[in-house]
Amino acid sequence: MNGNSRRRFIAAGLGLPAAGAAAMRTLNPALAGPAATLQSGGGFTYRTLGKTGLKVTSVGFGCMITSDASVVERAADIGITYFDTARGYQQGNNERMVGGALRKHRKNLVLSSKTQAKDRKTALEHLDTSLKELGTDYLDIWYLHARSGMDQVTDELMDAQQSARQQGKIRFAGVSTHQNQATFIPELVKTGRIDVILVAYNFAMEPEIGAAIEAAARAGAGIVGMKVMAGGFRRAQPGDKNAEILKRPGAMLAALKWALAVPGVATTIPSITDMDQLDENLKAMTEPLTPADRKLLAAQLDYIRPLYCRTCGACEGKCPQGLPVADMLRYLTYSDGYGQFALGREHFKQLPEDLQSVRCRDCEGCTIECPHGVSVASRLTRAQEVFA
Amino acid sequence: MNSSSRRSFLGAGLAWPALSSVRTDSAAPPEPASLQTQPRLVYGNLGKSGLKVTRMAFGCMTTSDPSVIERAADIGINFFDSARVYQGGNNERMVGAALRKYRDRVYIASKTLAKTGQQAMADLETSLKELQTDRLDVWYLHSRSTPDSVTGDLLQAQLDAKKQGKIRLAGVSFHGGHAEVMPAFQKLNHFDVFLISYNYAMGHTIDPLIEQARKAGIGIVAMKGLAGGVKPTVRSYVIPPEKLNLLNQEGAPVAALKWVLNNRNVDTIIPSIVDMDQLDQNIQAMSSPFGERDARLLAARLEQIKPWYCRMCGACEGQCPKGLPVADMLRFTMYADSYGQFPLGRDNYRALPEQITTVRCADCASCPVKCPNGVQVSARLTRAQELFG
Repeated sequence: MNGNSRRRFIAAGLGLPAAGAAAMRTLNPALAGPAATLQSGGGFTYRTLGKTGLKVTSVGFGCMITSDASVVERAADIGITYFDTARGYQQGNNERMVGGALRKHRKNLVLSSKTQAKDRKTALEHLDTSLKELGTDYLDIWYLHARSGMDQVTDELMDAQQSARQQGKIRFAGVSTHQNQATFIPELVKTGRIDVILVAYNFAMEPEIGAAIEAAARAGAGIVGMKVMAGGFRRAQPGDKNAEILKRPGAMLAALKWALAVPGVATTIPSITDMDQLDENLKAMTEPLTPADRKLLAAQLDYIRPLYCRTCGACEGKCPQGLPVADMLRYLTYSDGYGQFALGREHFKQLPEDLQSVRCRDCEGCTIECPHGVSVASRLTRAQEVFA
Repeated sequence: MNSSSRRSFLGAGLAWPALSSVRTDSAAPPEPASLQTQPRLVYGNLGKSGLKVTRMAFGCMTTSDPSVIERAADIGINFFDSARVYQGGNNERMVGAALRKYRDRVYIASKTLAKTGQQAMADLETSLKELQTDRLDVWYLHSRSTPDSVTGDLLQAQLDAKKQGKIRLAGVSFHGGHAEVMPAFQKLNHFDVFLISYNYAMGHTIDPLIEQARKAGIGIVAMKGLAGGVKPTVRSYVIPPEKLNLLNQEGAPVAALKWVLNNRNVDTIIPSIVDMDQLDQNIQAMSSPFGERDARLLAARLEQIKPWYCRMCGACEGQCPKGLPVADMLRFTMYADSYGQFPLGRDNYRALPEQITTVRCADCASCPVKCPNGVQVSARLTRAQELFG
């Protein structure tokens, strides 16, 4: 939809008075004429990424599910300075798209990618591919991707990061993590070899993780927040008891503002797929987290309680059939929450065959009790119905 | 964004005049006021098949959010189009899961790229399983832009599938080469449905062919109706930024759909729909006539897209000395640059043979490929190579 009319519509729909128009302009730097505030930096907040000294906008850009390069390009045009991708995203196509979109801005940006590799050789091969696909000589941050314990962050891999750095292929070493974070984050800090930690944290998660984040930041780690929208779930189903409150837009923006208010979080990388989302996210840099936001988040939390897995790890190893419960719920979140069915299914299909063929219906009763109230058995059944 | 308010916004914002030239399709005359509550559905007969389909249908190729499909079915859209290969084979599964509870009141079409009857039947079995249904309403031989891409073997597979009750209607889809393939395919006296590229940029040249086919009882489904996506995001080196606004004027996508549906021989159209806003917009195309403002919008758009949008006329076929499949490559670039579907474009590109993907147009002193519609072919091919190669 046309960006212009979108703004007009918002202004009209929300019944904003004359001041509304002016406010809209500051939120929408690129298209509007007098965008002085934003171009001079007034609309962006910058933070330093721990000891790296890298200065980035507090709202970055997670490219994982973006398929439209012009959204990435536009974000860079208007002044977002941190972009994140990974070797594996979109079957290896994502880096290429991101690289093409950011070419003319490259030297002014912080660009990160990731590898899932388990050994040095594969990791360094991935890095060379990433550089080629991104069309750049160096990454600002190179993450070891999706690790949940020190057994997955071996000396061999950290040595690989170190040598990549000596060769000038990366500037800083990072690790990304979704699980076991309260324990794992302090361990990463203790190594003294990881400059940036990419954490999954949002309003639905345990405060212990927040404490670990704050301590890590104090020790000099640069903290980047992901999964800040708690799975998306942008539309409450009609009939849900929170549907009335959640009809009001803004839960996603409120979630982003919440994440930016977490002590220690330097920047965030929400997924952005279109211009409307980009425009909305920019507001998180200028608007404070309000009581109205908190009210929205409370309703959103209530709505997603039975759906959204916080990846706390409490269910690890509990399924008698051996299902990787948290992973499967995450794949379902890709489909139901992010609206990315193919992404969810591709992950599901990479599970071993014996796990794919398990049907939760065949169990008499499910032994898994989620401490956060997720209806595990019914979610797993849904995952099997839609993906298997 | 809240979609019912979106609809009321459209209704109010476009300030439609009293509609003078009212369609006489099977539904009641339009009342602009009704748009704010329930969209008005208009149906077309799919050839002589007896299937009554909403004239605005749903192309699922680039949809990643199943709830948009569910919502369309809730509204009453009753024709959904997928294909075995879309989204790495995941699209059918999503469509099937989203439509399961609506299955008895919607028609589902899928397609196969198979080159042999045996492969085609195997594809069909997979499609049925993935779509979680016993029967496809339309099964297309997919992307057959030359007459010899349809073999007796494949036709037999469609006949067998019909006999076995696995499909209702046999179709064929093609992106280009209409002038050659439409008469050829019609002569086979086999197909129930044609799925054809058709839009305002291609113009009326193929109208007689469409009419001929429709008269022979073949259902006509149009694709590529937007001539390059809802909101072309072509880079500024092709279109000056200040002109992009002109290109993307409010209402232009709907105008493009209306242009297609204004041809009464077209039974339905299957635009790609990725979100609720597009769905709500597209629905308007069914019930309001193509008017003067639409014509103006499209004229402005056409002026802008002229240098880059391939009409798939087939005139460049075989002209590249390096053997590049020019029209295909331009289409893949369109997926990335105008549909905003980079991975789709690149996956298609990477499926080309290696001796094709390693060609660089910059190595040719000059390009002998001349587009009769004024597309800057070598620049677009170079773009494809930069993006994907």
